[in-house]
Amino acid sequence: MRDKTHLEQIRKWASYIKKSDGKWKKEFNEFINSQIIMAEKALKRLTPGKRRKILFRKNKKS
Amino acid sequence: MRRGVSDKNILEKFAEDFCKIVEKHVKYIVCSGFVAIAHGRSRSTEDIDMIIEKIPFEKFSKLHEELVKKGFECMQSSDAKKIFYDYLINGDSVRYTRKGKFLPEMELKFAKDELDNEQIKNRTKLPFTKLDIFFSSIESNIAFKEEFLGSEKDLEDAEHLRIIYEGAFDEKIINEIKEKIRKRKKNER
Repeated sequence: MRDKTHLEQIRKWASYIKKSDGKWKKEFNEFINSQIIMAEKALKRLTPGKRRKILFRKNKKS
Repeated sequence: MRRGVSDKNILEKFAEDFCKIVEKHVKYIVCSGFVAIAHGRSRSTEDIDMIIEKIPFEKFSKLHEELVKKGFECMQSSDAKKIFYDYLINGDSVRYTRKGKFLPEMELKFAKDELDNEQIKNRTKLPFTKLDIFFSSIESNIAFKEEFLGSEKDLEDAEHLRIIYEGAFDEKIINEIKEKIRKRKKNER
């Protein structure tokens, strides 16, 4: 279960978005991109067999 | 093109820089969503979850002081006493970011029971991630995601880790951890 600081954080972030005149988009984009890049790098390190399994599971889900 | 340290993105750099400081003061583990992403799960997380050993105020104060000196700040307060007595000691987490930034953030909390202490005791670096970070064991990550967290996203994370580490983890250990999680849940009711 999320604790009280999670909600505090959501409020602070939302308030920052309102005041930041769009600057938040760059920060947010960089943060999201870094997660995608991290995941992509990890997938590239997998053996072809395991990569196939992961992609098969992903395709099955969608 | 030769790529060096800068090959790490902001999230990886943030996590490693933060962990390097924490490790000088106390044992820690990184667990949950960040572990999944570091293993190639294409999903996002709002924060990095860190559990540290429960330490006395004096020790925490030194850790906080060094984090601040190295450019991090706590979103809850700048006062180590407040962070310690109003949050950590009550079982609540606190959140650190780079000074003046909102993202990424490290959600830090104390180990709350023997199960958390065991996770810290059995912590490990996971070479596959190429990150200089201590994680909770793969068995522990799978057990918590399947037995404790249990959302669709967590179950998918667990399945993902099972594929990555196929043949390299111990199902018996997973079941032992799950049993301890069930006991924890029972005690919390």
